Amino acid sequence: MRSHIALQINGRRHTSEIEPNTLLLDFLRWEVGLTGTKEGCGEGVCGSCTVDVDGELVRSCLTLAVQVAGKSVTTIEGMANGEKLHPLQRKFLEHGAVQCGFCSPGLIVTANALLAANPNPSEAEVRDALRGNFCRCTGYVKIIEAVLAAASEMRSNAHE
Amino acid sequence: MNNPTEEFSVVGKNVIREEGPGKVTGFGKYAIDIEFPRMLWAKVKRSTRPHAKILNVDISRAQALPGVHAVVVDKDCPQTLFGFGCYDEPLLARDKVRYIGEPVAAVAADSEAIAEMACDLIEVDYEDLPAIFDPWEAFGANPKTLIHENQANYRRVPIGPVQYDAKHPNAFGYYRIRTGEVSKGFEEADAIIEKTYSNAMMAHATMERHNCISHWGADDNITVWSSSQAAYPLLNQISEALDVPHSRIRVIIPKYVGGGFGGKIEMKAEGLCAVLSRAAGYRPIKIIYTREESLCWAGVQHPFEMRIKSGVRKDGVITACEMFVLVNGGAYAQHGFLVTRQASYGPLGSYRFPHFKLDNYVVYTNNPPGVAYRGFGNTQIHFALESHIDELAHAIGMDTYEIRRRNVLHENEINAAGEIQHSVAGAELLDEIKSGLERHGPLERVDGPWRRGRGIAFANKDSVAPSASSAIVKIHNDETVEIRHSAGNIGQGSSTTLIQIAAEFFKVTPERVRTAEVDTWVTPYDQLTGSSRLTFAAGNAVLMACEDVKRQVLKMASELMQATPEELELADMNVFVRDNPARLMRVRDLFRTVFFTGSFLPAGGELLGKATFTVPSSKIDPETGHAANDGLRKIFSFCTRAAQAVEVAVNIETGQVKLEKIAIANDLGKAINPMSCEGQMHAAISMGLGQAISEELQISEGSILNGDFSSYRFLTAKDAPSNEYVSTHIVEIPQFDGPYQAKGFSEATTSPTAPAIANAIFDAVGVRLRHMPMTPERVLEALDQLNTEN
Ligand code: FES
Ligand code: FES
Repeated sequence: MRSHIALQINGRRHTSEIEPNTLLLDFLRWEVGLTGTKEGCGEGVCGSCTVDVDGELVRSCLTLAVQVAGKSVTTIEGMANGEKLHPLQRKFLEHGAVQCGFCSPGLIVTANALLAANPNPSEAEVRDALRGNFCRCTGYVKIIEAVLAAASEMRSNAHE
Repeated sequence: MNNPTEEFSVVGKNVIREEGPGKVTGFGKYAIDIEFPRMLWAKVKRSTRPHAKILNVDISRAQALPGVHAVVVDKDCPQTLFGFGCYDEPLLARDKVRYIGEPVAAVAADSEAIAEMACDLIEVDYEDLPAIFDPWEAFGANPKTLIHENQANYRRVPIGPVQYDAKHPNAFGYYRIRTGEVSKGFEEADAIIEKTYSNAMMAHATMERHNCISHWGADDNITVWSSSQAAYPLLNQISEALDVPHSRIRVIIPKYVGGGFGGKIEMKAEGLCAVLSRAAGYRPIKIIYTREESLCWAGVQHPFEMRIKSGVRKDGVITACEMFVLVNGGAYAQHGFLVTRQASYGPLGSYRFPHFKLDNYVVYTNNPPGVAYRGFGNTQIHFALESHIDELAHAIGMDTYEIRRRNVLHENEINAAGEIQHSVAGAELLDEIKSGLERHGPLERVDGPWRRGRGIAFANKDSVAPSASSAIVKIHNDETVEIRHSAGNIGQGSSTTLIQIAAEFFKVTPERVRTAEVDTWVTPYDQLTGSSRLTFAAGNAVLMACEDVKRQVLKMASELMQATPEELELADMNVFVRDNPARLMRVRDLFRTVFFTGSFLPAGGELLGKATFTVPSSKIDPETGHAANDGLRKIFSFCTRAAQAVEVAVNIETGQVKLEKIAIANDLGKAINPMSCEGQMHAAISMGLGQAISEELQISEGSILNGDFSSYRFLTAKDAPSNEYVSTHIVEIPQFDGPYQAKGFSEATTSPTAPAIANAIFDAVGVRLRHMPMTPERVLEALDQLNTEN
């Protein structure tokens, strides 16, 4: 028995027939082909699978695809504006916050939600917001730097 | 090889990494993201017994499950043994199982879920054998069981003394070092300390789990896409395990690999999936290890037991050191014997020991196998040694910086293994961390539950020799440069390092240089992504290949420019007469275009430079572990050194330890990309800190209790100190034979962290923790013991 699902993914309408028990993570990766969303643990702990659903952060490994029917999902692939990288993406590159990069999609999506809610976070607030995103490589130093730099750039862009 | 005084335009700059955009946009494909038409999914049926005879494996119900295309057991696999220097492991358990988690059978099915169901339907009858988990028990002359009965007949690579000793029938590796006469050294000492240090088992915990796709083609060629960190070692292991020549195997490693840390060197399921592929009618087979498989059964960090006895004079000079090290290798050798060898030399790269004696055994037990882990055993050895040095300092009442300054090696000094030391950073690193930490003001001791203390540690890491790396450099007709090299870019940024090296050579911008995807049918041999060797070995190979292609360019241009090649120079893809730079031509004009089929090179086929860089080593005396006095006196390619100073807060009520401040210094010859180097150094405050205070695979009777991310204590951004209290110090002491005088260093970034923290805990609360991780329970236990003693 397959269910019909219709939703917005990165601003485009998408419809599919899926098994009702399909996880949002597997739906995005294997049905839609958006493999930028990563699976680190599959149990809601590491944050690599984080996507944005109608402005809320969601762990796609714990969410069924049918639960987001009719909603708008933003994945890492939807963060850039065409060819133009999102300031967070650019700052992650410029600050060397990306090593193996497996955690980067989840971190960037999470940081984006933080900056939407709090455009001028302190370092402690950034660390708090990212505490559910595991990174094995970086020691978080440059990730924090990159998020703070992106925040400051986004604030000055907003004032222009 | 190059002029150190010249001004660089690309080397030493913070170039954005080549594969970065693919990572931040999500468009880069890791092996885990790849999928093919007609692909099937594999799962492995694993042993539930630590040591047992296999009486029967019934696969009939699994085979009958709809959607299952192949089920294989040992008899369906080539009857080979593979390994990494000690050949002891079958693709699937043969006759008996030796650890919980050992692959016994494998299934290929339409989906992961069906494959898993099929695994559940496989019935294995076992007859339990006595099992050994404790390395001391395994080490005895008459152990209660032999884990590999046939060990004496195993094929091995001959390194060091005889590796199989009937007196220790469960030991599979042995190294010894002998210098002077330790008893004499102890006589000269004013204080003698003897202590034992140890560590728990730790997981690599790469964020991308181990995975691959193997395809046995109908043409009998095998193609493998893998998340591996080392293409050629993998190729070689597949070849040995399947008994298929290299030429028929193609290993492709995508540009995107989600971490390695030593945990992705050996073959995992690549060979097994190839067997499944053929059994399933030549369909591609994909496997993604579960998080549990990836944490527990794809190789772990070796637990070490390290007994150190040393003597020190009142003036801080170490007179003798005697070490006995026992490594719990787990059920198969894998990298165990190399880890043991590397760790044996670890102490000798740091300090001067007039009298030194080391015996280091690695034993089989019924634990999951240990593999390489960032540092190849040096993390464990330096935890012991640096804690011990601190104990020596306290015994004679000397400052902990001072005792290290007294004993660190100097430039060109010959160490206790007869090896000459080059590019030695000692006092320089200690000075950096001292000022780095003092920048934040003096230590303020306060009463209350949180007590503060400071500690330091030094460490080093030798990079393996002999070592070999090949490179091909191609100049395209648009004057861009392509590097073909098999360096696994697992997150450390090696591709960009190589790009910067080539861009500097050609005097072009890094945007005009790219690396090819690692593909053993295209990219040439590289020994290994490991041992911190890529910047040095791959970097040198790329430079040599650049030289080679430049020679070809100058020769071709000389014919067109009426000049000898010696009169010509190449920069920014202009060939010009050195004495008259106005006489020039562009490299692209070497190509000719006819009609509409693109351009070609009139002679020579392609502008293709090729080279192999090798590092020899001296003959090593197996009895003493010493390098021969052959003019070279070389055991390793190079040695990198590191130091860290930390301030911790210890909660005397809960036992919790917090890293508050850290100064990190690494010696790396020349930072090709400082931003990338700093990034590697910051691993101290994730992996190093985790190792120090929280990460442990809890194992009981061979069964791991916390093989998932909710119970394996992985550190987060909240556990790390604020950026304000992290100071990162790159120390550049030129490596005379490195590319642009650079060398690798990334393994040495995590070794000093745990001992520095142990030393700081002692400073804070007066207890010495000799086992890592130093968890709250262990800290509390030690505090309780201290209180009872007082
Ligand atoms: S994969 Fe979803 S939180 Fe780890
Ligand atoms: S960059 Fe590797 S896990 Fe974060």
